[in-house]
Amino acid sequence: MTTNAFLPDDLSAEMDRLGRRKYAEIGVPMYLVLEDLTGNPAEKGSHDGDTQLAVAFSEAISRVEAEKGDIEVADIARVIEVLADRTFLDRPFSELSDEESPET
Amino acid sequence: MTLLLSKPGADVARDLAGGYAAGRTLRLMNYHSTPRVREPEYTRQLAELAPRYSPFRKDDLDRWPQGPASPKNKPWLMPILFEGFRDNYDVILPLLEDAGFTAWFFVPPHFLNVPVAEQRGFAEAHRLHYLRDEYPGERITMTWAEARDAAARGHVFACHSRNHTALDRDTPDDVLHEEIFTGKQEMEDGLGLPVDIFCWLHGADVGINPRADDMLRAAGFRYLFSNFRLQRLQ
Repeated sequence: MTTNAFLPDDLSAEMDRLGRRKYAEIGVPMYLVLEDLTGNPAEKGSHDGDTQLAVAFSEAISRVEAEKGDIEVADIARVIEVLADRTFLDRPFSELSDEESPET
Repeated sequence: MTLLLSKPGADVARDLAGGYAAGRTLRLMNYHSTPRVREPEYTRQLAELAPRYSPFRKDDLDRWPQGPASPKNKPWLMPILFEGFRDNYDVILPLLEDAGFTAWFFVPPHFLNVPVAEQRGFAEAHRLHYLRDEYPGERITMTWAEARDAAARGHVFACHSRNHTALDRDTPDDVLHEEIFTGKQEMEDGLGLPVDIFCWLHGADVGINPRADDMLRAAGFRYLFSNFRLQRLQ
């Protein structure tokens, strides 16, 4: 049972579903973190902070870790894809993509 | 596909959560080939994104973290067009411009210099996935003239390694040199502009290969895009 509105009940199934998309042609929303490696202490974000996103991401990672025992890079990528898909718009972004490849 | 992390996954996840919480979040739209047959789909996507997001320009990146942040209720959005396919210029670039976004082209520069007759083979050999051929018998890459035109209209170009190459911990120095130094020179020759953004195939970040990190800095790259981060190098 999900405890976070940003996360689906069956996170693994949603990660798998999004992972089957045709990445070579569709638009895929993602989150990046800006990171200054030059030692600048005054890191200012794009805005005040995405607390809900941070909480949802941490919860999703915990759920994947509990299920698999560890976290791999592909897991992190899929978790971010799920969150971006569900938070960029008021509805899942993937609803705007044609699941099947259109005929030429 | 080999994806690498510079730290254990749990540590990377903790760092990312901290970045989101601090508001160092950047929203991307990743595109690769953008065939005409999907134009209605891209149009629908951009029509819904445009009212919610602000364009992320090169100036915004260069001024971060001291410069102005994005409007609180209209975060930055960065559409990335990977690989340098012709349909990026022909199909989605006009749609992005209509929606008010700045396009970020991540191009392996040697791909644009491959003769037309060899481009499909090069794409197949270098994991440049081109699923449907809407230009039979013609070039499938954008030209440098088109790239210069897009740059002149305010869009941004990044070096996606010279040959669309993934970084590994033991990638030899000669390969690193070609992908970093030769790639930068080839891209700047084609564009007629300096290029200071780099991105490996599969998005390796700083720390995976310190020799590569040193070369990126020595070549003059200021930014590295990776799977989960946009890192300012210098």
